[in-house]
Amino acid sequence: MSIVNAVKGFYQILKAMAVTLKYFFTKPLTVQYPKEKIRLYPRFRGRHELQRRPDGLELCVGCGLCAAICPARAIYVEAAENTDEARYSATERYAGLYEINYTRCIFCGFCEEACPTGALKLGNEFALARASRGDLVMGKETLLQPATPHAIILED
Amino acid sequence: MEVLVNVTIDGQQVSVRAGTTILDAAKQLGIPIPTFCYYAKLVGIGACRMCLVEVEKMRGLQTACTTKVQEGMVVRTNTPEVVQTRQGMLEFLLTNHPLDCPICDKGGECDLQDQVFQFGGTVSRYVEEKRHKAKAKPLGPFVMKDEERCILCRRCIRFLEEWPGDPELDAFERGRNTVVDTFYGRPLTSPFSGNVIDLCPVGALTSIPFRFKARSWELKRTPSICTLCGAGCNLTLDAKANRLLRAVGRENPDVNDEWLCDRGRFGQDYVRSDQRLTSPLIRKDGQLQPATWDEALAFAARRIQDIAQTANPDVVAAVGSARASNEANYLLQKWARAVVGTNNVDFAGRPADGFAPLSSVTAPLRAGVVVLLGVDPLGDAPMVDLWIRRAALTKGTRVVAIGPKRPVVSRYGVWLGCRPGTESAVLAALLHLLARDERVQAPAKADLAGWTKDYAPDRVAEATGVSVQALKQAADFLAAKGSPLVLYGGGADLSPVRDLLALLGGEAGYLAPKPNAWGALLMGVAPDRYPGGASVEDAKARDSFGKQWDARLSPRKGLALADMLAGCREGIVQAMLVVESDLVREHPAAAEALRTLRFLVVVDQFLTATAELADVVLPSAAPSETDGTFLNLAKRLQRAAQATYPPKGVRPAWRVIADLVDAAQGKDKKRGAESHWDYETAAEIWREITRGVPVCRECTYETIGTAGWQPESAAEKVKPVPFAVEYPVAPEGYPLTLAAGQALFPKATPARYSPALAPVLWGDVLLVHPKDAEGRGIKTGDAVRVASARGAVELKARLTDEVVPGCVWACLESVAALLEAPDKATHVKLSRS
Repeated sequence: MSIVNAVKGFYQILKAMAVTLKYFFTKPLTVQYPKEKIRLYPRFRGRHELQRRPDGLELCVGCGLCAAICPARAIYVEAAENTDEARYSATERYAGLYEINYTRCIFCGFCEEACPTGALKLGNEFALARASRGDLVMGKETLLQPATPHAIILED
Repeated sequence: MEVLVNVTIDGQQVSVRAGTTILDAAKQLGIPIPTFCYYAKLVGIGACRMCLVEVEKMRGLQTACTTKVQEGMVVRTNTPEVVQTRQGMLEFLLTNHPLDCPICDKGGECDLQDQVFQFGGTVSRYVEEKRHKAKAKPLGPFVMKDEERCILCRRCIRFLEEWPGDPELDAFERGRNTVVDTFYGRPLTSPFSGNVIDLCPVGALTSIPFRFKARSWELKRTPSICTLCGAGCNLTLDAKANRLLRAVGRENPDVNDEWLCDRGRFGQDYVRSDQRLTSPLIRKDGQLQPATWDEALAFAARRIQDIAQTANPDVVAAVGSARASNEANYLLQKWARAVVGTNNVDFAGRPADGFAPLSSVTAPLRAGVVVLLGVDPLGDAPMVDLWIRRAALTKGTRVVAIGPKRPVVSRYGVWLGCRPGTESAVLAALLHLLARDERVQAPAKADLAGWTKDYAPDRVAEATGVSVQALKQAADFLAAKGSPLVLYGGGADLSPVRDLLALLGGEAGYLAPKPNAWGALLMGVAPDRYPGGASVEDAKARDSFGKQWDARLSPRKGLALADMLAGCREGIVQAMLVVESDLVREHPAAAEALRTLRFLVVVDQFLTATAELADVVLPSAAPSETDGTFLNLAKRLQRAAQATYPPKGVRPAWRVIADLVDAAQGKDKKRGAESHWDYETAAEIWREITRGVPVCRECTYETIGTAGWQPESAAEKVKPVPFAVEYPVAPEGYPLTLAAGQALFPKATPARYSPALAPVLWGDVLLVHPKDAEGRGIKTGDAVRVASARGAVELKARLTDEVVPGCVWACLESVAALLEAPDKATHVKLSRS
């Protein structure tokens, strides 16, 4: 009996070592982040980006539908009114305050679906670690794309 | 007898009163019929065609909101034809309605959104360019109009016609170019204009102060009441992120139906004013400087204790407020009586002995004639003004206004313009006429005819400046209509009023301009009364409250407010605690009296003119930031609920008083069962109040609920008594009389701190009759100097025939320093400065 068991055990070891050896000779999956870039799928949902119109005006009108749909209550919007002197969006209203709390966000993408103007897109940015919780509440200065320059092209 | 008719709606049988519309009958069965222009409290016009239903044997579809039911009528509300017509109507509306819901303030509470969702089709066949009209066009200071969104339901037009009787809006142009607008583009000035915002079924009329502040679903909604006048209108306070953003009318047929005046609707934002106090202040080196709560409370408690011990407790006085809740007022008088040991408690605007509350805010609806005795309800209690207008428009109620300033509602009757202080004489002249009128039937008539024989109209006219013709017209209204409702103000002489009631029946009531005048009185904020009304000289009541408060109570009556202020200069009063009362702006001589005090503590939301004189200022929470109960001008007990938390560093007034007691007893005192000052919530104070005040015994915060609670009160039987009227005589050098009142948007605390009301606040304006201005070379806009024997102030003149010749009128808060007494007209001289 003991000999049969010993042979069986040796066979199991060989089988396991074969798996190990196989991966020993294949190309490793590990990415040397951050030296190497990570490949993302096209529909990866990362940090939000607030889009602009081609003329530079913000697409967001501060309607708050993203905040309404958000299952994690991560978004806070306070609207404000455009004036002729300070125009941020094409309509009467724009987002005076737009904040996403990344300690709460679950990246479900409902906000993107709810957005009536296509202003909100979940981008590819995933490196969201910060030194403090406060830094994880991001406002328009971070979310608005392109973040710089804040150029606004006015009509003639 | 009412006639019932049987109708069948969607196969269900129902019996309703004859004259009911199909829509109301369907409502009784719970069958929904969509509507836009229909509104239960407005006359139906069938303009929007949304409520079309099929009626057997009638050609075409019928509007449910205007078609009356008839015996045997068979109605169907869900046939394919009706459903398709609704979809068609909605598609038509949407051809021109912009789909800018994401930026529309009505989004989320919009009738059009809801009904398209419920009854509309799925696609629009309209691909052409939509009609374009003016967007974001302000209609006055509060209402923003978006013409593109208007669906022409005419609710706003009808409201202004049918309730306040200010037909300022109408539809102009024709067809698809129709717009709702004011005449000649004038601003919307109705004092009740804000209601059209609530009425608008779409986002065509929105609120300017609330513009883009929040979406409807983000708001935390708290049913509460308005505390900006004595009416106590029910409203909902909407807050987002602990910021009070808007007030919306809440239905209560016994108070405000569902309407609000513009002061109540837009003035609530004073709590967000950047002038709010957020830290206690202590006077150091002559300047008020921020301090911590512990420091300020300990200092205030120690100083008051020192002054009371070195002299006697009666040099300390406490001033409550008709602006503060019952809970704060109760604790204040408990502090004065049980901790300090004095009965020196009072408040400004305490209803005088013999004053009665109104039977209800809606009392004008039951009156034949509303007699305004020197008051203008538009300033003192705008909701009463609205009910007078409604009564005049729907029931033909007449208004007889007696006083130096013409109230707006006198357009529904007659204004007996008389010099201030002669209102009783004018009323006596009316009694003279009525006692000799054969239409009047009353047992006391013969007596009255004798008593009033000295008040023949022509003699009174000469002495008071009223016109004989107007007197006769007013007497005619009273004789023809009967059942008068007499509304009087603080300084009224009630003897002629009693006679009027004895002659004609009806009721009389004090038009309390502050939210809690009756409550503060009931809570015992009076020098001679305990909570509930028992006299301080009544040994049984004193024992009972002494036992409840665990203290020996003083048997001596305290000083009334006027005596307190007079006593300040003589050292009879040396320290004072003033809670939420801006005495300087509403009581003559307060400023100089308070300056002579050794120690003054003021608890208020703002650094008011009174707080500026204080040695310690303690910031308190507004009624919307804590719980509390208020007793309105009809003695209806209502709850002002907490809608937001107070700003950091601010405590409710009741907690401030309790903390002051704790500070006086020192830190070593253990907080436990033996302390009478451990209140965690306002409800605990209310429970204690109910133990001492018999009227409220059965009443808890739960039974008051959101609708309020009206204690039963028996109407007082009036007996006529002979009276004599004294005509005021102008002293040498002071030819004019100054009358003070309240404006719709007064510069009084707290309305003066509201950002939304700032553009419409009544400035330091003096109304002058052109006749008086002529000789002095005064024109509208000129700076003028008004001087009485007490002092002088500078105001801006406005020439108007709203005041009688010989009289000038200004808001109380601008001329308080000139008056002899808060409710007394004062002789002044006027000159250009």
